[in-house]
Amino acid sequence: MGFSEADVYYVARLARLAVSREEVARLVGDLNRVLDYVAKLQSLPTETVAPTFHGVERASAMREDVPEPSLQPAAVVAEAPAARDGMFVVPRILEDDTGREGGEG
Amino acid sequence: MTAGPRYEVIIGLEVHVELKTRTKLFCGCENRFGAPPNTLTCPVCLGLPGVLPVLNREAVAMAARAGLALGCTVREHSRFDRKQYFYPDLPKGYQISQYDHPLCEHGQLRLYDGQGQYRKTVRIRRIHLEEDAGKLNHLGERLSDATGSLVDLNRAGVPLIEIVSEPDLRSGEEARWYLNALRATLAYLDVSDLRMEEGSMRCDANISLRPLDFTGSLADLPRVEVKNLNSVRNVERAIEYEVRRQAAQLSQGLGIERETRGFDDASGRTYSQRSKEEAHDYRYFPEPDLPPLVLTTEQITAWRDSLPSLPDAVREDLTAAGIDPRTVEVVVQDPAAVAYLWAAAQDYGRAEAVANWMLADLARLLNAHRRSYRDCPVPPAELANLLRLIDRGTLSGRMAKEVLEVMFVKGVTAEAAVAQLGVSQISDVDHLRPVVEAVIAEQPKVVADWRAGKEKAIGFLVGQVMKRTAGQANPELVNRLLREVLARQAHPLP
Ligand SMILES: [Zn+2]
Repeated sequence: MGFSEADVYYVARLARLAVSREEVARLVGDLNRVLDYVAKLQSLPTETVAPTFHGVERASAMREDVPEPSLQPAAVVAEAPAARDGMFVVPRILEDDTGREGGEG
Repeated sequence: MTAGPRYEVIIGLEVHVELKTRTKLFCGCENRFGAPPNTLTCPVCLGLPGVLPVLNREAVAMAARAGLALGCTVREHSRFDRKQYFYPDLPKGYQISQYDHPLCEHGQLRLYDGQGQYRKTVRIRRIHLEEDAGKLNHLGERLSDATGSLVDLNRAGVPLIEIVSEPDLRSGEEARWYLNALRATLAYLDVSDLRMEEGSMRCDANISLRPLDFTGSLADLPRVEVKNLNSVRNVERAIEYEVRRQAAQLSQGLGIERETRGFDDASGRTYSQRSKEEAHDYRYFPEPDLPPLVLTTEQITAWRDSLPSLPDAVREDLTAAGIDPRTVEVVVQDPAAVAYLWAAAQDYGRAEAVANWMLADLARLLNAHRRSYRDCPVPPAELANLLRLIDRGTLSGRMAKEVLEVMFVKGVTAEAAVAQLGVSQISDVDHLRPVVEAVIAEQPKVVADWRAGKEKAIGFLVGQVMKRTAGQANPELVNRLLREVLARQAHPLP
């Protein structure tokens, strides 16, 4: 199964990555090699094996619902490129250019 | 529409409900509304590298109990997945959610109309557990001239359940019944604040029109999703508008575009937000940072056995107590109102009278003062006392309304409010008789008129007695006493 340049552009767009034409050519080759490698697994007989969803065969640990201290407000935005009133400043969002579910309530 | 609809309306609802745990879903930050921006955040909910999520046991319990109350099967093995999309309020670049192994599946909800009539059962497809996103505050006056946004991540990581119905609803009205039933059930479980205006309960509606000659699968119908409806009323309005819009499109021979739309409260219209198919490609995959969620049969059984009384059972009890079905339908929505009603009814005796006072006068005061039955300043026992004062004739119905208001606003007992207002109705015969006799003695002409058959004249005499008692006499009793005294004067005892 081949991975095309169009596929690379599509996934790059989903991941908000800008890729040059040269990079795309290289990525198509790299990604196809990865997929070919994974495809080798297809040759194994797995009809009788239950699907593995997780690398660790154990149940999720859970914590009690007890509050722990949060970070100091100054520390939260200390590394932010821009902050105001204790909040992160981000560029204007165009509502029709988002892949988002839910929306702000 | 004149030729009758040539289509059927198909609606499914997705409802997000914030759980009221003390802490967030995957970290120990407090789950609290209204704190200063970003003061409830830590490396986990900020999405900093090198951290691991740890699941909140209470959030799982609340989600599972919600599922059980809604008739769902709770999976012993469920799983978390990453749903990837980019938005500034989602610091990790993905939301931890549940994709194909949700915690709860296959439930149902019975719908009742405002008259208390059972109307239909709607199937619930699934309920899954996921984390909420943060909040964006736009800079600038309007979104259109905003230069940027401010990100507050206090809400990021707050536990949510998403309740997805099957496409079993057929109108905006049915959607309202569904949301009322859902909200009532969750209110009895006490797992959420359920405030749509504050965003602790949010609804998206999927709406499509199926032509009557359409034989394909529902999944092939172009579906319009209206997002972020912030009140039950707006869910109903958005559906009604969208059905009209889509019907108009179809009648003009135009297709319906599969898209996401918003709802404008002021105009009552929906508007297109985006239609790019790729926007829906979330590239779900299993969350590698969280092993599967495994629950024991015993645990699930224990949750099921400890469910409280739910709306359907309470509705039956209230109806059996002789309360009018329409009244029942209002009271059943609010478990605090039900508890209040039972407490006052046990004290006073007649549930119906209590319910009537709750719905008419107490509800008005609660609304006006933004209070609820949880923190009602008039305790159930005092409402019972007030009703007994009416029964004894101490208060007229009209006076009792004034007394209730004083009880509510000043937080005093019924007796104290009566004393403060000085409105106690004089029902003491011994106290009233001399007043009645004096009035008769002073008004020989009016008495003569009455004896001559002028029935209305007695009203004047009643008025005189009321005047002398500063309006506090029981008018019915005064009327009766006047007739007694006049009759005795006409036929004096030997
Ligand atoms: Zn945190």
